[in-house]
Amino acid sequence: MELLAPAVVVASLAAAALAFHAQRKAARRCRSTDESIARIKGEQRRVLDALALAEQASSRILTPGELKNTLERIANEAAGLLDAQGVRLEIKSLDGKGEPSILYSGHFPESTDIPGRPPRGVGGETLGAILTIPIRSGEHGLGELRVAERPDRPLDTLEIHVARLLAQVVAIAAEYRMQREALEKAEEDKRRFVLATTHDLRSPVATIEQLAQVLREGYAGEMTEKQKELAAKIHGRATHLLGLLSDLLSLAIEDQQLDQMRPVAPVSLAAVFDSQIEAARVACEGRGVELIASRQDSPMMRMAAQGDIENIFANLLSNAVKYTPRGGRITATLEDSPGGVLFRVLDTGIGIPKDSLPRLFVEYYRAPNAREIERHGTGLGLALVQKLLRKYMGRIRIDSTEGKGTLAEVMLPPE
Amino acid sequence: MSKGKILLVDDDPDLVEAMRLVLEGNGYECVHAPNGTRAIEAIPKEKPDLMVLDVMMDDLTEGFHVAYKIRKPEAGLEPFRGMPIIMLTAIGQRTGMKFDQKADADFLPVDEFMEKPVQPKELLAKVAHLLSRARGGRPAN
Repeated sequence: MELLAPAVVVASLAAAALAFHAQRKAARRCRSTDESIARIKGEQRRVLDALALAEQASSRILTPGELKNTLERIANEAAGLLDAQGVRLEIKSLDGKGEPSILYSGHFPESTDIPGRPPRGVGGETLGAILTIPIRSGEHGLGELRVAERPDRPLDTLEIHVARLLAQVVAIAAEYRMQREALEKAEEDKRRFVLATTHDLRSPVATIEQLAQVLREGYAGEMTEKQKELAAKIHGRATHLLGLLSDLLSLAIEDQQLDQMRPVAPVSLAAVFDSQIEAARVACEGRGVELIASRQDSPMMRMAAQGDIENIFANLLSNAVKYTPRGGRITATLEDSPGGVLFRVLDTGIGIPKDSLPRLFVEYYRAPNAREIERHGTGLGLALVQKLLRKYMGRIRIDSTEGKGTLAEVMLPPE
Repeated sequence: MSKGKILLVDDDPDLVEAMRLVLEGNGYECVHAPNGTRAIEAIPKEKPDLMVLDVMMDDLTEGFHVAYKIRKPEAGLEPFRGMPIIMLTAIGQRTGMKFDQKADADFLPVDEFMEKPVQPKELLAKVAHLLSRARGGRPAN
């Protein structure tokens, strides 16, 4: 028993020592796991920050505004994130004349190169390495991203990846922005071209019309009846030509979908109906045609460009007036139905020959009997109406019997 | 005795002649400037009572610039700040460029818009109305 005691003590001590050792080991392992977790968390944080920076950079570049200021902010934030001495973003941007200009941004250490000595900053400070990453879109160079390391703190692998990611994101966003700007410029050029053409085509005709009107109204002195008659003919033809040019230009503009030129706003179809009926009434009285108009007593609002709706109503009404002989009758109605707003114009006019019906919406097409009545129509009215209706998911239906009359029905669906 | 002096600013001499026939035939004196620059030069010299101003001359918006210079006004044009201006456009409603005096007054500082060709009677009525308003409601004599 006495012999055993020291052995037991030794064994206990040994066991305690072993347990203590195991405990220390476990604690060390724990600590190192904690440290690993902390390190992974730290890396994770940096990756997330880098992703946030990249995302912010792309959305900033895509926001219209001064590109230089935007690049400046991105470069400065990148310098902060990478803990670098400076970051410079260079983007070649095309100015209005297609000349490339390079936008520099971000603080970047200027170096003074003296042969045989390590490069120094202008202030004499030591410079670190400079990482240059091209900003490319395919084969096309858009610029570059340069990161100047602090001399005592080289970029680690993650930071180099972050810089690459940023360069790629900037490349995609910058290319997208340049394409968008080029497209906007092309649209603007097209718009200016249409405006300039409109002006050049209309101006001389407007002047002819003006001179003829001044002449026939006697402002340049009294004329014989025959002279007046001829001046009236010149005036009439010029007016017609001006209308034709307007129709052509309307079509050209609808083709271009210059929506911004005709802003969409809540429009009361009832109010447009009333004003167009008013205008048609004057024309009907002049031609001895009866006009009966009725509509539902509600405003019938739609989101639309007022000019479009006016054009649709005016075209159908003026067709009815043009092709209804003296003594005839036009009935126009506007009503709200579950399927949409229905605009109907029924006339007792010359009607449309059966084989002309399918071609009614073709530009410049005019039915033979229409040509007999009104020699100078343009054949563009219904084509224009159909184009406008497409914008509003509307539809038009024409039903006609030659010699009896025509029903034109437009449906504007609910929004 | 002239009913008032009108400055016609338009690069189309034939259109100017047509307007001149209408206005001079009704007792107004007319002077002509073929573009915006010449109009700005002519104003202090001719001291017109009213201006008929074309929009598109040397460039698409020249008329607007002339109107701004008068209303702002630029140096030398101060006495003409309130001069009535009738703006002429060769392109109108059909092209979507529909001007509205009430809606566009803030950015288009003119008193009236007219589309070419102008109706002679309408032109005379607008000129008479604007001149009488500018003279504080006294009719022209």
